[in-house]
Amino acid sequence: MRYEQYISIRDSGGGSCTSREWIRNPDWLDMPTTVDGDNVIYLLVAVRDNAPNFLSLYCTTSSGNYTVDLYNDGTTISSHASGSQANFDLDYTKGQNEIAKDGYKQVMVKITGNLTKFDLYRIHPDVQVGHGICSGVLSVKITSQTINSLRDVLRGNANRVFHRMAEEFEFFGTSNVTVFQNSFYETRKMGKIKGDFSNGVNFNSAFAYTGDFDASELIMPSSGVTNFSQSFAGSFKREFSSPNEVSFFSGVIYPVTTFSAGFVELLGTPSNPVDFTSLSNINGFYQAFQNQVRLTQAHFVNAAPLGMYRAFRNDYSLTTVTGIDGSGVTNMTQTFQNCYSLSWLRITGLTVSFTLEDCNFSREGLVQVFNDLGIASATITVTNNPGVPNLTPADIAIATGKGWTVTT
Amino acid sequence: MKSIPEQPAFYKQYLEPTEFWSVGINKVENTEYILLIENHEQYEYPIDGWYYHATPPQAYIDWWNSIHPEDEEVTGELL
Repeated sequence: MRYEQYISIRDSGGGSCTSREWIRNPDWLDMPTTVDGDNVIYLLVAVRDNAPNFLSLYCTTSSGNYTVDLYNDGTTISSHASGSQANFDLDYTKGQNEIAKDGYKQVMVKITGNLTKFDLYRIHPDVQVGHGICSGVLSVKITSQTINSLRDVLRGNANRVFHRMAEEFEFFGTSNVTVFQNSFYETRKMGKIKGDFSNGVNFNSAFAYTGDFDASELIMPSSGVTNFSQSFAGSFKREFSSPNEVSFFSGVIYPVTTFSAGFVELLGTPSNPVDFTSLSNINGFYQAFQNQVRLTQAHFVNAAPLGMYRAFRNDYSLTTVTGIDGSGVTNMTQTFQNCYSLSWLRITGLTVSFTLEDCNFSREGLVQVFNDLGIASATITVTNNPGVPNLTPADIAIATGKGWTVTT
Repeated sequence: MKSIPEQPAFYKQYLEPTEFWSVGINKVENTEYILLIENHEQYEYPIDGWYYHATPPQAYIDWWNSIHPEDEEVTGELL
């Protein structure tokens, strides 16, 4: 595939495009081959003519220095103490494979050592704090069994650096990384994140403000994720619908504000619902999917939250929610507030008062909600739904027969 | 956006398992009773915890304010 074809597909918004799969720029240099057990990091970096090409990085090691082979050719090798920041201004003339349209050549940087931590969240000493500079990092490939933290690995911040050209991240082979806090924060062009993250416990803001990246080859933990706060805040990721992606959350104990103000459109499908097997915190889905103005459908499996405070609040486009076991829920405050499009809801066994006022339920939709209620002395409010005038006494009796009070 | 009711309504406060207020602006019904807003003068309150108020009671307003601490605007813009 030629570069022009790639750009055409990448930038197409629809038409004949039937897949949103990320396509690696075919003119990019291949990331070098590694084997499990290596301890090496490769960075593919864009370098421009007549401009600084700053690159700063940070590693810790279990012993000895870490080494940077700046052009992966043995000509410019430097050694750095563990815990020290290495700073470079990459030489454009050493770049390869110019991509004229985007105005850069490419450099492959190689980092080796007994690595235990690595990140690019570093400001070059020649850049003023608050500058907001963007690095030329395009792709990162890490192969290491000894790195245990990827905190801030590609994090962006105006006080340091942004990695807004970064589209690809791969962790190859066995991973013992447990901390992914802020790992991909602000990588707005991120197209693919690949690797085994199954030992992760802390994903706080890990994917916040990322691009619509492909997670189909990203293996997430099946248990023990204790921090998933703000993990997709502001993210442009649009769907969790592939068989692998719908198990993305199966290890999450408490998805507090996970999708705060993001742009997700689809959480699961009827045939591929998203799995929340590990959900156990008393606050459950606390603001978990709030303010998702583009979310239309949310299909769950093995989801038994103990609380749903503001879970779907302000999800104006949300039409369908299915697969929630509500029998343990103790808080339904503002759960569906301002969900003006909501017309189909499957939460079984609810026993606490809640409101569906100002939604879009037909009579049939409301009857299904009544059928799913648990036995309780509680109130369900369905005021201002299109189906309310069509409810029959027999319909209402489905709810009242279980002890509920209905306000219409 | 949802706001505090401006019209007369029936109010019921739940304290368990968490504080929650149910509001009926037209009709409240279960197997024991039916409350119609147009007949509100005919009832003797409280009825199973329900009260009629022409304007929202202060306790309801306090609860509402407690769960809308900033009443943020949702624009979908990045933070």
